[in-house]
Amino acid sequence: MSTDGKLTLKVATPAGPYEDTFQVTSKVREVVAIVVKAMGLKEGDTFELASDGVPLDDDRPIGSFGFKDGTVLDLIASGSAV
Amino acid sequence: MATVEDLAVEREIEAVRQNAELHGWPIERVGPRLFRVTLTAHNSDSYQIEVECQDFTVSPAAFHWRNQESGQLDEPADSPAPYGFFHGTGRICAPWNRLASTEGGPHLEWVQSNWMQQAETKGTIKLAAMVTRLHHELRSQQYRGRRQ
Repeated sequence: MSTDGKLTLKVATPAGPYEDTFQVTSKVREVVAIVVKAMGLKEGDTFELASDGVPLDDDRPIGSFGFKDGTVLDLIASGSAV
Repeated sequence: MATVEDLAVEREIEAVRQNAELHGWPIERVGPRLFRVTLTAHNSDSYQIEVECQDFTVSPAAFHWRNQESGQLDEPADSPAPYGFFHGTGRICAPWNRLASTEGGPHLEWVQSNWMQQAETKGTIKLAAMVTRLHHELRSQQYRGRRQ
């Protein structure tokens, strides 16, 4: 985790990459909302943030996962296997 | 002259390319509406996916598993063992994959022209979302290796 209370992340989204610096105390759901809005994605759709195949709990602070500055995450659009 | 649809597809493929650069996925453009991207599973298994976007978005794109040496498409050994999106037919089982609703696919009842409105599609309507979903599934601990 960054020592200044902030964390810079890179996110692969359905509209291409997004990079931003977040407060480590921001909840995952807040980070998702910021990314969705910034990338002009449809806000009614459901998205989740994931790291290397593991979905991140929406209610946890983004700083609680041990990510380093520059970590690449994925914004996964919902959709079910059938 | 490029059509509005051509430009829209171009933007979508560019988003895939940029995500590929971010993740370090090899990506190859092999035609105006055809590209190949190579994804790596959590156990280092490597899969090349050939994505054919003819008539996208009127119809869904076709996602093929491609053998990186022979160039053969959709051989069982070049696809993951079944679970979730990875169907026992070898096809990616989602309305956003045209091959799911063509001969040999698991859902012939799906209407391709209606793929964006299918309940199971939800938000997965952009090519970059589809490729990222496949990356996510291959990195998941649920991934069980190649088909035998």
